[in-house]
Amino acid sequence: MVILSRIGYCRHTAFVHNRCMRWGAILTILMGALTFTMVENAAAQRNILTPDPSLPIPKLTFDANGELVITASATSSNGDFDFLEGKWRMHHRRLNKRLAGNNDWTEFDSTDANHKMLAGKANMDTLSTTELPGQEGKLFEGVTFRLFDPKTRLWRLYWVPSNTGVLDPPVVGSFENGVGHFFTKDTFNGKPIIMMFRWDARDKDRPVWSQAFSPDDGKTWEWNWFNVSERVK
Amino acid sequence: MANEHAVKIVSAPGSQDLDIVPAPASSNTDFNFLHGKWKIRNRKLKERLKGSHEWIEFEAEQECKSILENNANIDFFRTTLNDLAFEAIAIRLFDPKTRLWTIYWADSKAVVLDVGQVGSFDGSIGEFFARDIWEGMPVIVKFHWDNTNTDEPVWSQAFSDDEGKTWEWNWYMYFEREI
Repeated sequence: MVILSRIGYCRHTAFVHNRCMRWGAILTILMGALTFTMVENAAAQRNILTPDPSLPIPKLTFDANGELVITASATSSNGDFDFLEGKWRMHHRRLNKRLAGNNDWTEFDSTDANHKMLAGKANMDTLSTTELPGQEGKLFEGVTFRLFDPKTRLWRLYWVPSNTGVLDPPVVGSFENGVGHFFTKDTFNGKPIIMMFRWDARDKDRPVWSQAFSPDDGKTWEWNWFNVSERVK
Repeated sequence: MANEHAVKIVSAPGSQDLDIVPAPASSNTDFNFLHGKWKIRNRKLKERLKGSHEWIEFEAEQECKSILENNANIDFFRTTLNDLAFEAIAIRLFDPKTRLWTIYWADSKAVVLDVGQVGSFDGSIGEFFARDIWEGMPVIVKFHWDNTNTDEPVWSQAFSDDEGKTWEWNWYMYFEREI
């Protein structure tokens, strides 16, 4: 604001023309720096919404019947989702077509509100958006229920979009060093897949959720959805 | 005792699944009567499928909220059992394709969602069924809703260990709307 008013002032004062030029130059540099910072932030956000190469995907194991064998981390606890309590703004980046060699992504925003329940051993949140691709501006709501089984110390995460009517099998897993991986067997377009949710809560004020599908029992993964949450104060 | 007309259990030949058909008027508004806050008088059979006639009575509170654009609802049930805080949730989802409700129940002790109870409302009576295991034994569980009086609905639960021929009622909840 200070800079802009000074520029306005120069325009009417030939006497300080040189000074005016100098201010102009400074302004240009500042504007450039600002633009650079904005681009940097956007790039940083985009980087957050891409796979983090420093995070390994746990190896999957199967029992004799081909069922996933999932065991809890040593530190797994019913407090592991406490960071998520409250209200959030979410920025999403979603792959347009899954398991089709597609690389077109759509970005959109949503809100999210998370509450604890069942004496703090479970929580639920509601995601709301009118920007979901393919919904033509219609309100879309999805609820996630997360239950911590004290016997197995495993979390079960159920995702329910409005209009499904039944709960799909949950993704199952636990947190280790601030990062949680959750898996289930599912089908996509009639083909068996493994579905993975990842919660990267190393930065508890900007947690990142992502989803990947594997068509080959965990040998290869295709990431198809990322979101970063920012707390609404 | 109970009204058995609402939903019929028809096990398809050779199948373990229950074949449950919705009542003609089944809709996603059938649980709207339950939205809001309630006081509940519970009457619970002390032991199940053991010929017990001893009942335990206790009070509870419940709040039910519509979610997912009113295609679903969730309620939060709170009480004290054996001096310990006990909480439970019921999640009810309406499938617009099958027009059947599925009801999932979880409590703060086990923190696991039970097998979904499937069914519908026929007028003021709703019946919901699932196969489950009780103390190692296969049973069919029935939830029964009677909202003839929408300010004082009654929920009850029965188990059958003989494929639905006989039922033992083991829990009644008498609801009273909190104003």
